[in-house]
Amino acid sequence: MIISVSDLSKHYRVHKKEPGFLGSLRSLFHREYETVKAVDDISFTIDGGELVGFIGPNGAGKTTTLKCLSGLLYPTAGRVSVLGFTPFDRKTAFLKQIALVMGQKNQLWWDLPASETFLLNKEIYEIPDSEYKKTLNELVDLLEVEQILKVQVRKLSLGERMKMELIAALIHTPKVLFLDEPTIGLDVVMQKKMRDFVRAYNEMHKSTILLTSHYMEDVRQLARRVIIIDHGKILYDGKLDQLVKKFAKYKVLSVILESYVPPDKLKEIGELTDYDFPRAVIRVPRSASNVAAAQILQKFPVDDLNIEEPDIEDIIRDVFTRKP
Amino acid sequence: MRRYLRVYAILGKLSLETLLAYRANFVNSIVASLSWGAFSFFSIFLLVSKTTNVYGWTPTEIILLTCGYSILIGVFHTLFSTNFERMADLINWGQLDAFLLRPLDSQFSLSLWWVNYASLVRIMLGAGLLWYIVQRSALPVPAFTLALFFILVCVGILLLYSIWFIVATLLIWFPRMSNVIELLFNISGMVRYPGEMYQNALGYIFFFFLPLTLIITTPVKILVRKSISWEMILLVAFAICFFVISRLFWKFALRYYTSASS
Amino acid sequence: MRYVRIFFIFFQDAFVNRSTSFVWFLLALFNPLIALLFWRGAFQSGGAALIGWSYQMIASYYLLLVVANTLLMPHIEMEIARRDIQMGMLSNYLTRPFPYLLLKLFSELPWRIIQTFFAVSVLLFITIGLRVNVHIAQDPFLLVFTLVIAAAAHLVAFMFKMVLGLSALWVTDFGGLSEFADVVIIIFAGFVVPLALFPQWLRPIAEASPFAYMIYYPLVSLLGQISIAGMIRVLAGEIIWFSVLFVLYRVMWTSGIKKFTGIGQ
Repeated sequence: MIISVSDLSKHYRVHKKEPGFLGSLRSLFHREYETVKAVDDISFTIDGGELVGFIGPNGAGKTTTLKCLSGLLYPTAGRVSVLGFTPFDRKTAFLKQIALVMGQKNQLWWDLPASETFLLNKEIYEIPDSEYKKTLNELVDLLEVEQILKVQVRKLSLGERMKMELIAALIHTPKVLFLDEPTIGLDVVMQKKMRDFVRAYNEMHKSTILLTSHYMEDVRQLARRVIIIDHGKILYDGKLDQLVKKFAKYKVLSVILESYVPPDKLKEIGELTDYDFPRAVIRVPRSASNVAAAQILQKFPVDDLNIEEPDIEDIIRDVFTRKP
Repeated sequence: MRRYLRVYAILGKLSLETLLAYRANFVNSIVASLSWGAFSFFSIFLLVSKTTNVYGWTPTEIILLTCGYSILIGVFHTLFSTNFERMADLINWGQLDAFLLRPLDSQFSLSLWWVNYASLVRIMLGAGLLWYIVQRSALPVPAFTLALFFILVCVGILLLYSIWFIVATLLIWFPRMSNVIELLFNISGMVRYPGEMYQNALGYIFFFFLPLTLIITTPVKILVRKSISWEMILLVAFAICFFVISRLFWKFALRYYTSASS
Repeated sequence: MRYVRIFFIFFQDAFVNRSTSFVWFLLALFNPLIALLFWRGAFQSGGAALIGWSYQMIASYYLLLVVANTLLMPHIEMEIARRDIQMGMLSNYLTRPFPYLLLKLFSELPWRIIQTFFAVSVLLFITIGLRVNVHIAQDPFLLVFTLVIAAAAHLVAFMFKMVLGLSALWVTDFGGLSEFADVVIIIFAGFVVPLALFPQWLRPIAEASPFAYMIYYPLVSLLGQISIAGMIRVLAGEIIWFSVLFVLYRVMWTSGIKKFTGIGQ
């Protein structure tokens, strides 16, 4: 058990600001506060080497949880233990073994080549020479940035800069890695490269990785285990394929019709979610999927028929909105 | 610890490299430093050009005060000021995270991250003029007095730093008032006037500023040899006290830090 | 009507940031008080016999200086240089059917008003509560004329700051230039000592500079130290400086805009 969280809560007191001039005047005399429960009584444990996906909509509490785990925020209640340390104590030994990578974070010195920042981190984290060289070469190879190591950071493109930020963040080979929205703002090609990198890193170093995202593709590609969080509470904690089986009560029949069939007729089979001739998408209860497929083949002129699992996005959306 | 010294050496190197990478920035910092350096002397010159005595200080002695101030504030600006400005911005935008995640004392890294070499000119200006005046007025300055002067200037820097850091820590609760750092620049300027100016005035209000009033007055008094032993002890006591408070207060304040949302 | 509404929006924005305004006000308050303490010391030890001003005059000067500062000295140049030019926000203004100059004036005035509110409150407290005597001109006609001079002074200062801000279109790092300008203004607008107390060799230069017209002349006019004839001369000087700066602004604007849109953000 590398990470252990029990009954963690993080509340914020925010004062309500009314819009408009009168509102500002009123708040001079009477301040109203409300408590925002960013994280509300959550518990989970993670073992070494696991790659866990933390998903939820914006404002769900994912980033707040990561920040509590890395010691940035002081928990309102509950116990957190990472690598045997209490994160908020921010002991040097603890900080040397973790890394938190967030999209907006900017730790590279702007006017200098990235390699200078790496050397600074080498001293800060007390990385021995041989280990530093080895790790640096490995990361540079993995991210293919050998040509631009000596280029000033301000001259790099966004993608190149992100790669350098990653190297700076990982140069001390942390045992625990927190990734906050690692693919946000990246183009499709970079997103894939980022996912490949994370997967490779996890396999190579057996480091524990906890990543947050609101992109399903990140989770689908990387995480075997997911924790779903919304409004500060954990809705699901377990394997991704179990999630599908547990929450998906239906299957999706994707049909290509040879000739036009009126919608009403299709609706007799099941819920018609999409009809754009020649393609029709029908939802049927899980257990009835084979029967429904047979019915369709019998009744209608069908060119092609597919039985599919529902989209993970849809499943999770349903989990959030608590649809039965 | 040796690690901190090594890290600081690298930080100093990186600051220097950055300066050399962009000469325009360097020139502008020098212009700014020289402007304010010249200003502190010019303004005091304007004030004393028509006076003969202020609280027992002659115009020359008052100019010596400004020299001492120039040295002290030069060191302060070289080591700390830019970092305080940046700290205010970081707190305002919830971006302290990188500093809090490093296995490095956050007060150390926030206060000493960047070295502003351009402010060295203020030290040179102050030291140069100080030396000139001391020579010209044939003021006897034995080595011991000089050493004591520099030690007390250092103590003064520590005190000034601690006060700034405590005020900057308050920004955790009031992040939008980042221009309070500007105010600190001005308030620091008050130390170049004779301490008696404040101590005799409006009693209680300025008692609040008492530690500040000692910062330059005490070392310069030693230089021109007026008797002062209790002020020396008070200065050292304040420096240590405020420094300890700054550390404890910072650790306490971090519990209330809310970093920027994603 | 739309001018009023635009102004009102800017005012709301400044009002929301009133705590920041309060700190700026403290800045304006602090230095004159320190200078005043210095003079108090000089007067008390009899070391100020040379200056020819009474202590009451000096005290009035510095106390009213606080209000003059908050009311008349705009600080728009940083926003122009950093936000509009360096970060490219100027593009937004270029597409609007509203003169940039006026927009900047409207955005700056609310801050002056709010900070002057603080300044006047403190001044009233000092004069009434602490019963300190502040000497101002008694003649109502003089006072009205002073208001005119003050309004013109603000415009001169505003025009200067606009020109300073626009210089960011040519100067690579604006910081050094603006710090230098700050120092020059502090000295020559009379923030350190009244220009009348400057050494002989420097007085004529100081009194002819545009900075004297920004703060010093309105201030001594309020103090009742200038005759009608003098006030007319001051007003003439303000008009001259305003015209010079305005022409400079237009020239910089036309050539600068070409440079700006050429380079882009």
